[in-house]
Amino acid sequence: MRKSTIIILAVSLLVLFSGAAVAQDYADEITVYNSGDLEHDPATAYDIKRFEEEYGVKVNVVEVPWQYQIDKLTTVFSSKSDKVDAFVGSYFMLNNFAMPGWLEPIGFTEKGKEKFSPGVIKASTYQGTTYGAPLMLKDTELYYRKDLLEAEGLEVPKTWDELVNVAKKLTKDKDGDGNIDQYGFAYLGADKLGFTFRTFLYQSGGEMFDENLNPVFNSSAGVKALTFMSDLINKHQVTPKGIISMGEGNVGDLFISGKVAMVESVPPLHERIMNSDLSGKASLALAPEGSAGNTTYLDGNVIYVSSFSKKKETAKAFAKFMSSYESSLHELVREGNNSPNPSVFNDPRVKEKFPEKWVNVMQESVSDVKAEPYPLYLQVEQTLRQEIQKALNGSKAPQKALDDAAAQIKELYTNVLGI
Amino acid sequence: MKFFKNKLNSGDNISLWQYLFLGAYILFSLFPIYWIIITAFKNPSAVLELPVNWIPENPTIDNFIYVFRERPYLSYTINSVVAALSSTLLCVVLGTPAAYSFSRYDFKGNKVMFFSVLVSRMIPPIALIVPFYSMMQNLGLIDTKIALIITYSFFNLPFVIWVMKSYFDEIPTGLDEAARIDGASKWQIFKDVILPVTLPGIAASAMLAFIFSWNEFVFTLVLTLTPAAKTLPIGLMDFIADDFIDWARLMAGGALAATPAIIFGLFFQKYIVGGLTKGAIKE
Amino acid sequence: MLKKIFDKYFHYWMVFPAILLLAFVVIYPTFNLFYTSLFFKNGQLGVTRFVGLQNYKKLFFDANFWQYLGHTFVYVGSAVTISLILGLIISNILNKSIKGRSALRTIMLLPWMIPLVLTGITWRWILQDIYGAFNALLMQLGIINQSIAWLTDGTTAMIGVITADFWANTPFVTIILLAGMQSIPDQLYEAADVDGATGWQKFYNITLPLIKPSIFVALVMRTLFAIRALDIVYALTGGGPGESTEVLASYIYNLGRRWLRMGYGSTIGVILLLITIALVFSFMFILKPGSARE
Repeated sequence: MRKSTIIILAVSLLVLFSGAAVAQDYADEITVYNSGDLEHDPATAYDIKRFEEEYGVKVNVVEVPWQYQIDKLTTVFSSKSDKVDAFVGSYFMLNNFAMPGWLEPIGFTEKGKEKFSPGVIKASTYQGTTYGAPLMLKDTELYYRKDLLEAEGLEVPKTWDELVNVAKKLTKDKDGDGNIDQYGFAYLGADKLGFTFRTFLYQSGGEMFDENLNPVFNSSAGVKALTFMSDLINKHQVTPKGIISMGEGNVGDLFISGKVAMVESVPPLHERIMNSDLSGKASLALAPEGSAGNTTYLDGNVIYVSSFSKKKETAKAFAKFMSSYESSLHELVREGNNSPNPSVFNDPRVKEKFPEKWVNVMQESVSDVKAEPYPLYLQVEQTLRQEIQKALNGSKAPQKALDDAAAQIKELYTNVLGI
Repeated sequence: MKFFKNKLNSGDNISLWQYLFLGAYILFSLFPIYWIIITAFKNPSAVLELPVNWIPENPTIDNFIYVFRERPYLSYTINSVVAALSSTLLCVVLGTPAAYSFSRYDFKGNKVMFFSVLVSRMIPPIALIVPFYSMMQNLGLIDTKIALIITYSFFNLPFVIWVMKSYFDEIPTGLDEAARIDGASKWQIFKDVILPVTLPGIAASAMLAFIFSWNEFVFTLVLTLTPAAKTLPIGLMDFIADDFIDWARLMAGGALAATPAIIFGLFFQKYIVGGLTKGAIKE
Repeated sequence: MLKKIFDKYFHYWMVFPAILLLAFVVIYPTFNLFYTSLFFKNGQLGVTRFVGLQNYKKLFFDANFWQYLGHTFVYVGSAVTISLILGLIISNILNKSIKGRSALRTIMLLPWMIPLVLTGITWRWILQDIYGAFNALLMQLGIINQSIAWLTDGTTAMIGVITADFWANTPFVTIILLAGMQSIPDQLYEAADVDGATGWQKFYNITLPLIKPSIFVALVMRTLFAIRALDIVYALTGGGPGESTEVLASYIYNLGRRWLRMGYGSTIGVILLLITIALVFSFMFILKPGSARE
């Protein structure tokens, strides 16, 4: 065969296929549940509009308050309703929704998966099938006050030990009234304590579960992680005790109001910093390394398609569209949400928006993220959160708290799943 | 009709400690409300400034404007008013005659029915959410105001019947007797003789039913999806995102959500007191 | 003819519309509650299996259940008692001649008008460590010099939740008790004055016995609402720290709606219903609300 024939054949095949794609019948409208108010998700809103224009499909967005999102979705799905075609949900919801058979595979090709950070695909895959189309991700990064560190002549901490030392120097009673006005460091507490714990757990070489779903987070690595979290508050006293009951928003408030000098938090804080008085004073670094590296816990959103939907093809097209390069880019530059697709960080539009140093940190950070999907997520998470809180407010020793959590989770799995 | 006696009642002037106690209680009551209001008038970027500014430096009404312009707050308000008012009306229209009958007629099943009504109020509503949801779904009522009206009535009807019954109990039966001798039918006795006397009681239980409906959260959250049926308390959740809480606008929205209830409260305040008096006391 | 039938069954005509509506709304969900409590039903696994009274047996060995039951009693007991005592004192004061009485009554009502969710979120912010308004106030007044992390300790968090609860609900109690006090004939007080009774004696011997029916109404309604209170707990502490503010209502919510263990959740719902009925009846027994009549 001649070369030109091949090209012609290839081109015509391509045209044929793309023609087929365009000509495919999409439903007139689909219903998508969003986590929270679209007002807070300008990029998502923008990309939904683009999808509507390009595909001629109307997207009805139902805004569900984020704290009640899972409750509401489980109510809808457990009644096998076809009222939801797709929804924006967290990575950690995968197991809860995939296990009862409520989700439809997205149908990514191998090539389609390659563009994402490997941790992201692993977190969206249940028993070998990928059910989530990654929309954005929240990795843990270190946000710090450049001005305060410079004033003290301090280097940005790169390890846990350095973090403690720097934090100690930044914890201050400025007016000498016996009350600390500025704390050195904070991490995410309350509903996010499980996330924070996992970041420290992975960084000290631990895992949540073994292959047989036995809880193993009460290993020495786990105890080391929780002891570190507790010491920051109780021993070194560089972290305010109040964070035990402060979630992502509250801890962000602490940083923005200048009460803490460094915080390990997640990307939406970029955007808050840039819109606040701290813009220019705050900067970004990789989360300090533990004994086993600086892997951080992967949180964030994916698009799931309902297996009860009557418009699955349209919903899948929507999911893929929202996880495309272009959409990820918008999530990053318009909302400050990190991209599950590391190549997005090379885009000139990203460099235009963020300082180059930030872009490098973000890119490096997103390529080392991890999450383990496991069953009965919500109940496991609550148990974990409760026991961690007890260790942090001093009512239990870290080892005891983790052992208790592991025993409860083990019992839950035995009782409910029979394993 | 006069509900408040404006002269000394329990016969004493107020002692110093009572003044102090009242003052402390009022401060305690007002502190969070003051906090809500000053936050609502602060610039969103000034909300977290420390030390706390007890008097906003550059007060702004932008938050209130934002809430109405950028959010479907008007629909939320309309939904809240329609659902709470309709259910209140329904409860009063159905509950008052029932309470009258329970109070006046010793018919078969009276006690059992009245008792069932009371018990239905004792079921923990949280335990009924799932069956409620599937019931509304089967009826195709998800995300409609009708579902809310039915739900609020479930909460308030037993309450209205209870309060109204004890109210009727205390009106002398002599009134009924006199009318019967004059040849009035049972319906006429109820409508023309007894009802006018009970108006304050009706106003009072209506008011309480209204406030309870106005503030209902958990069921409304489950039964609504879009601005077509979402009410104000659910709308408030729009300002609470995972990554941050939009304090200034949340508080502006909250202040607005409370306003209609407060206006109703002010208007009916005297009826609440006057009406419940009669209902609660059996002389 | 028609009119005669209407008149004969008048009492039924009056009752039925209300009963029908209630039956329509209540019977199916309530039946469902009892029925589901006999099943192992897990929405996560898609399993429904009849287990008879197994769930009730399981309850006895569920440490969480007993712990949360304890919290529920602490929460309901304190919140209801405090709001009743506060309500009694405040209504007694507002019942006297005091300048600006009408304005004071209005101010007193305000907390009750704020949506409970907002009450929870606002108190959460106010009680927050570091940037909470309550700490700021105490420090500016010189009462404390170190901010206190109210919501990180089990006891203070429970106190916080109870405080938010009686803050929001005392107005309701006050207004019901005030109503009761308004109806006490002045002659009784005048007669007591002639006998030279003190203010406290008059309150104890006249006011208190005569407003017993109002106290009953307030007590029952407050208990009903406190026992099912979820909004405040959820917004304020989310049940934490640890499980120190977890109550039965939030346990039922978690089991039924979040973890989809509907069978077991319904079982606890039934138990909570029985507890409520028992409480209301014991109030009835102790207070004998009708006795003011005699």
